[in-house]
Amino acid sequence: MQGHRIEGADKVRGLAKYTDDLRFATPPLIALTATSPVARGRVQIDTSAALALPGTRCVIDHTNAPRLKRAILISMCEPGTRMPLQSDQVEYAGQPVAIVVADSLHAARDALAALIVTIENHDAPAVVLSDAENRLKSVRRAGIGPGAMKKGDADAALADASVSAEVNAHAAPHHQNPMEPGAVVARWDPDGGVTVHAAVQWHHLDASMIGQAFGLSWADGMTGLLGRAVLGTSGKSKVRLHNQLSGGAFGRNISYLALLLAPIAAKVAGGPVKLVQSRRDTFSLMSHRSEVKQRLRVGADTDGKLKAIVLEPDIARGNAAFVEPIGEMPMQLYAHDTHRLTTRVAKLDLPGAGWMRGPGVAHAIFALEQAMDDLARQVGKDPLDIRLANYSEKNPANGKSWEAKALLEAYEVGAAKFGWRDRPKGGSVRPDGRVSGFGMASAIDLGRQFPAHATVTMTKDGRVVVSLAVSEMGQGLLTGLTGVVAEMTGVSPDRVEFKREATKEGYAAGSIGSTGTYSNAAAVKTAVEKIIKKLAKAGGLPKSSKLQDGMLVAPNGESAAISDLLSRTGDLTAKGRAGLTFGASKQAKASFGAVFCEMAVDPITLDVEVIRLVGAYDCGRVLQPKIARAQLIGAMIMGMGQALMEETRLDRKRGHWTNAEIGEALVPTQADCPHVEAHFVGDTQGKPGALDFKGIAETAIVGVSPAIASAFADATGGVVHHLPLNHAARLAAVSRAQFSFKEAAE
Amino acid sequence: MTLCINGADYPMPNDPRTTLLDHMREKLNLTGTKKGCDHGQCGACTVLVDGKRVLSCLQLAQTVRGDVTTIEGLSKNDTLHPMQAAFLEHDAYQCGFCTPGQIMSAVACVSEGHAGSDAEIADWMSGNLCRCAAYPQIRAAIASVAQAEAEG
Ligand code: FES
Ligand code: FES
Repeated sequence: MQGHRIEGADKVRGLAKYTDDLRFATPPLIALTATSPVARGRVQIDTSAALALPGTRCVIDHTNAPRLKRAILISMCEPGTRMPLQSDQVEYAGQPVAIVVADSLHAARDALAALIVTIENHDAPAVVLSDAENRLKSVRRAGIGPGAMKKGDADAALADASVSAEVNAHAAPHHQNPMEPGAVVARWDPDGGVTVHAAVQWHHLDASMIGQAFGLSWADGMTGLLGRAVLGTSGKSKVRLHNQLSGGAFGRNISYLALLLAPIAAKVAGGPVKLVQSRRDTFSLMSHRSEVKQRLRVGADTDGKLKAIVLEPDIARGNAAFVEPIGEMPMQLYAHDTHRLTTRVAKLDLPGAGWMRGPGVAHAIFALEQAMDDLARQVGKDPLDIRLANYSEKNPANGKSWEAKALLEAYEVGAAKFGWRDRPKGGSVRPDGRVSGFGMASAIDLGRQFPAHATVTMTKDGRVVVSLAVSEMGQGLLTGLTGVVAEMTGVSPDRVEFKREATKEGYAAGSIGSTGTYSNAAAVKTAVEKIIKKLAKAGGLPKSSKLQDGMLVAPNGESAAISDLLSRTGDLTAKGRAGLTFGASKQAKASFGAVFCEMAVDPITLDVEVIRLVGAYDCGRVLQPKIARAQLIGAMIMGMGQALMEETRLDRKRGHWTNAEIGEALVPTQADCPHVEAHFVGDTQGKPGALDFKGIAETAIVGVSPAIASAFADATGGVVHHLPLNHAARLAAVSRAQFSFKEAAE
Repeated sequence: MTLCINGADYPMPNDPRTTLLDHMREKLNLTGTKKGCDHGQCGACTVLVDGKRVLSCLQLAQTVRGDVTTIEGLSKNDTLHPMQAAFLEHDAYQCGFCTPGQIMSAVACVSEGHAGSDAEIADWMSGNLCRCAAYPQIRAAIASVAQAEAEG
């Protein structure tokens, strides 16, 4: 289907309903959250003035909040033991310390303003890595990625290498900042269960977090969750989570605190409550991408072929389990003989960090690509040629062959579309007086399959109903999956219905790491194959028959109308499952890409403008080119934001975010947006009968920041190892370059 | 005093602190207009007052003089406004949360005569953030409407 998105017409008419737009028969009370202005101390709250206001229903703090149990999940960013409103202990600025519940939004604001929050004895926090040397600890695992790795004797190989490069990269923390601040509606049901409306990325996990925290039933605990994920059992969940459209997410809408705060508020208030988040709230009630330092050293031979990669990241962790998986990808991009990864993590006095588009890899590849550029300069090779020289046919980390890899084609197509080989020299002056710079980088992101269970029903009246609790956050998953189902079953897309909203629907793979479409599609495929077998039996056709245009067609051309078969069999239902291929599969799977950047730099002010970004990506089979390209372009622009402006700053004394607003924690605007091109390479059609999807958006954010840094270095000689490449970092880099230039001359 | 929104009359709020955005969303069940920041930083709440762009989160409802048009009032019955149709056609949205504000701003951008070139559109649409970064498609949608209008 090459039309519009399924929910498109509603979106352009303003009819698409996000959680805060829902209206209910019993209008919910409105809850707002009071947060701590400082990072450490003990909180005391004087609620008398707030409670005296006519519209206030109740105020909830640690003294009267229901006791919560710990929740253990596999989202890695769950609050774990740090459940909200459980003690007077403040562990980070922006921590929820009270909830006000009132009749209206206005009344709730008045109540919030009337709270007197006192924090006593607050000692100095550590919120940046440079203040937390003594908290760094070596780890074996960093979130979903490894914390330690070793192949051969990398230190010896580094010492022996003819050429070497060292990058000391630093990346500031930043926030996903999707446009929807978000709200959660909660209501306790007569049977002791809870009904929740919210936008989440991983339905059953988030439902389980709520169930575990409130100790609802075994079906909501880890056993029940595993049963649903692995066995596809339905369980009797007491959490009725209705997943709503999400106004963007980018990794943020997983296991967030409001999913607990709203049920807390509803419990104490004794009626339905809508907890509304302000933009500022989202900076600390939801996750962020954490600060990371990386010391990366590479050694190579005189041709620039890698002999050793030694990566030593220091990663900040906040008050949640999540650790940015920095070490996962860098060893999988280029051929090399030896490597060592040694990761340290420091727990800082910050809100929990979490997933953001290109988790780990977006930062990690920034450092690696800077090192590759340095090697290229030293051995006198073009940046593209050094990458070609280090191309690896197999996954260099584990020797597995790739399911598919069209990186060479990505280099070729990207370079051709960009005009890389005939580009002007870096530093040449443009007609407007600014100087030009050109840079490029590779992109990679690992593909994984997460468990999913779909129930598919083909009805006598020609519909296909799929029960699968998937999330739609703007990535086009609904449209994509509908297309897949239509194709597999031979019906038109408008006859495909997704039941996705409620917890009773099938366990879907989360919309994370660009893995949602293919994990879920794989489950649907298995179910459809079972239905085909039943239909084939009814029609006396071979099992290898296919569904096409309303017919079941045998390989020899014999066919039968599906409607006839179904009128004989009645509605047919089958369950299908996709398993977890978390590195366990025989072949390695990743998306690849190459991205090229043209930049103009004002030689006096060092203002930069990205003129062009051209990317070529192997994302496997492309089902809906329009939607897939939009994903790539959106992610490339977000990569430009990461490169040039995205940074949430911290006050080191009180520990709070100082620019926690969307107009202050800068994100790219329309006027920042360069000319962006995204091209597809590789097997975009897929093998017949196979799904052959790979991830899209996560890959396209990777590579953009190093390509931009590379273009800046090409224009000015200033090598910036800091993200974002803000003005101070650019100025420092250019001064360093000129200084060493002068020194060399003397 | 009443508020005229999409051709219908609505009561003014009693509380003078009420913004047009909150009044529409909380009291009038007009939820098509979105709140992305509540501080005039994102453009998600853009509406038209007598055809001019207004950030409804920065406008107190009681101070509104003129006819308000929101995303709900743009299409006539079932027919999409040309700008809505162009957004659909050019896939100028992903999550759709910024979209009502983008479309209202885009309608004004064309009527103001600020859609003459790609660069001009980019400048005059920069008050409307789109974190999904559907920016190139948004520009293409606006350019197509501007061109169609120019051709009459
Ligand atoms: S909500 Fe009004 S500008 Fe953001
Ligand atoms: S479409 Fe998601 S913010 Fe614009």
